[in-house]
This record gives sequence, structure tokens and C-alpha cells, in this order.
Amino acid sequence: MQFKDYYETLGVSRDATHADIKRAYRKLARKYHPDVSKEPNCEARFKDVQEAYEVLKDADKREAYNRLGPDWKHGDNFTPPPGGGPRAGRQDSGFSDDLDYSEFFSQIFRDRHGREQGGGDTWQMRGQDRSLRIEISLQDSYQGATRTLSFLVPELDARGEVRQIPKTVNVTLPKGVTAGQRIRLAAQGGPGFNGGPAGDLFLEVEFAPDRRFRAEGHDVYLELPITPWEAALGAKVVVPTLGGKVELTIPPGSQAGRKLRLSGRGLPGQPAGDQYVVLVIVVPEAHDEAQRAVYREMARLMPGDPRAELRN
Amino acid sequence: MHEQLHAELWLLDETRAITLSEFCGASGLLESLVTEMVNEGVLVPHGDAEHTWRFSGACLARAKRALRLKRELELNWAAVAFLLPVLDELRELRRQQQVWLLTR
Repeated sequence: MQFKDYYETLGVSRDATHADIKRAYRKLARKYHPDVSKEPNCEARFKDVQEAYEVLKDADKREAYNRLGPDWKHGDNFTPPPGGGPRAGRQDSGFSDDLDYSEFFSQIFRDRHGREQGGGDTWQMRGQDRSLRIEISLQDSYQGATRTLSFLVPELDARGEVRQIPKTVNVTLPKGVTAGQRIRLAAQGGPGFNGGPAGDLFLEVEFAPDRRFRAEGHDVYLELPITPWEAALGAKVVVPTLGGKVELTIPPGSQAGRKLRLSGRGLPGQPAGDQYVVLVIVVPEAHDEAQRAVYREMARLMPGDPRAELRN
Repeated sequence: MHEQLHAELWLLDETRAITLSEFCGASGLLESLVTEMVNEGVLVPHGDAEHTWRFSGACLARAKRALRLKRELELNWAAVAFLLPVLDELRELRRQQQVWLLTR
């Protein structure tokens, strides 16, 4: 097990005051909190910062930590001294995905569960909730998908110590899940302690970037490149949808950016989403004299000022 | 110790409406805490009176997130109620920016 230098994690000296520690934490929370941070690895960084703060903000825990001595370096191979530290529990009820401390932390403050055992057999603890992000393709959402999720859940062994137990859950995702959708799998999180109920597993769905489609809620967008004459004269073109190819009529006189709706061709749902086809006009390059002549001819036959609205 | 199972799932969206006691059962939260979160505007159930409150599935995810934010950033409920929609908007804007960058 590796030693963790909590002072180094927060970037404060060993004689930092409570106010110094709090200030350092606030600053790092702003930098690494996963809800706002753009830093790579911010989740892991924030977890470290949180754990360090959890110890250093509490006089008892800080004292116990300091007793390990000042000679340890971050990452040193560490064996805990005999005897337990202060209890590290929290009074939060319910959701408990916060007990995700490092092995180092659990060892230093190891009697946090053990202490309760003398008091009676009725003390129970709800298992830990887990959150997982899953990335699926738009196609998976369209058709429904099955995923096998593997993760570690902390479990307390007979001595009240935390162990990471691998767990695998098969999930059949219904059709039409959307980005940002959260899914709860009751009692699929960490097991409860002393007969307490198991925690829940929460999934958060994200879509993998797609080369062709993007989704807004249940609606699907596709950019469709067309030629100027298809835009001007109208055309029937074949366009891909999540459910396969369909024929689409481009009305004559269409401009770039025009949105054409394929009703019900988006992601399944009540009601199903639509597919929007956004026209992108691709102007052919004029490579030789004959081709340039065509454009000049257009300029002559079709005068007009597309920038009229920009005047004044 | 591998456990392999097919789990029953709940979509946490607007299609599900549950009562206060169901909400507490599903979340493991005390009624007093859920009531406090409603009174502080963190959770917004349908219905005016406590016994007619109906929570959407999305509330469950929101309650979880609210508790986490409150603890991690040492906020009070007023700050959490203010922050949640702002974070949602930030996330949505970043997502749109991402889409925009990908399609350019």
C-alpha cells in the first residue's frame, strides 16, 4: 500500500492552519470538481483532494495522520502501525457513494465500522451506491442494447475492513435511451453491511460520437451534402437513417441550412423522435474553361444580391 | 466472487411518478431530509401538499447529485438549488460546443 501525503495533495505545509487547508481545498475543488473541471483525470484528482481534506480538516483525524510521522514520502510503501485510528464515518443517511476512500485511508481509520459492532447487532448500513458512465452508439439506442458492466464494489469483511469485490451485471438497455439519461438499477450497487440493504447502481448514458448522425433528445440530425442544381431544381435522394436508407424529396428552390423532417425516424420513444436532414450545398469547383463558363453564364442569367440584407 | 445477473432497471426520467414514501424507499433517505430538499427548492415534485407529492424518476438522480454537491463543496441547500440548473446548463453548452467542433 502506498503512503499518501495529504499535505502535498492539498499543496499546504504541515503546519498549515485550518483556514489554509479550507482555502486550498476550495481552490482545488473549483479546479478539479468533475461537474465543472475540464482537466483530464479530474475525477481521480478530485477524489484524492477530497480524501486529503476529509482528514486534514478534522483535528482528530489530522492528529492521527500526523502521528504516522513526518518522514513518509508520497508513494512510499506503507504498512500501518498496530491499533486503530479515529472513526471516519459520516452521518449522511441514504445514498452512500461517498465511502470510496483509498486503501491507505481505510487502513489508517480502520475501526470506523468495527467500533459499532460492540454496541449491538442491530446496526446496519446500506450498501454503497455506484455510478457508472456508459457510452453507447446511436445505433444501440435505436435497436436496444445489452451491456455487461464490470466494476469493483467495496465490501466489509468479517474484521470490518474494506475489500474491493469485482461484480458483473448484465443490463439490457431499452430502445430510445438518450444522452444524459440516468438509469437506476435497484440493489445492484455495493452489498449492505450487517443485513442492511444493498446500494443502487446508477448508469449515465452518453453517446459515442457518430460520423453521420447526432442526437438532440430523441431527434436525430444528419447533414446532407447536395449539389446546387439539386437545391435549385429539387431532387429525390437516398439518405441514411438509423433504421436504414429512405428516399427523401428535396423541394425545388431549397437553400443551404434548410431542415427537412423525416417524421418518426429518430430515436424510439413515446412519441418517437424525428430525423432532421440539414441541407449543405456543395459548390463544385471550376477546374477548366468550360466549367468556369457555366458559372459566368449563371451570373449573367441569374443576377441577384444575396447580401442585400447586410446593407445598412 | 463474481455475480452475474440480469438486473431490472428504472429509467430515471419524467415518465415515472412516485410518492414521498416510495421515493424514500428507493433512495434510502429520511422523509425529513427529502421534505427539506423540497422546501429548499432542490427537488420539485408535482403536487402542492406533502401527501400529494409525486416525484419523477429524474428527482432520484437529482437528489443524489444534490447531496453529493452539498457535501463535496460544503454548500447549503440554497446554493445547491441555485447551482444544479447552472451546472445542467454548463453541461449542455459544453456538449453543444463539442458537437459544433466535431461537425466543423
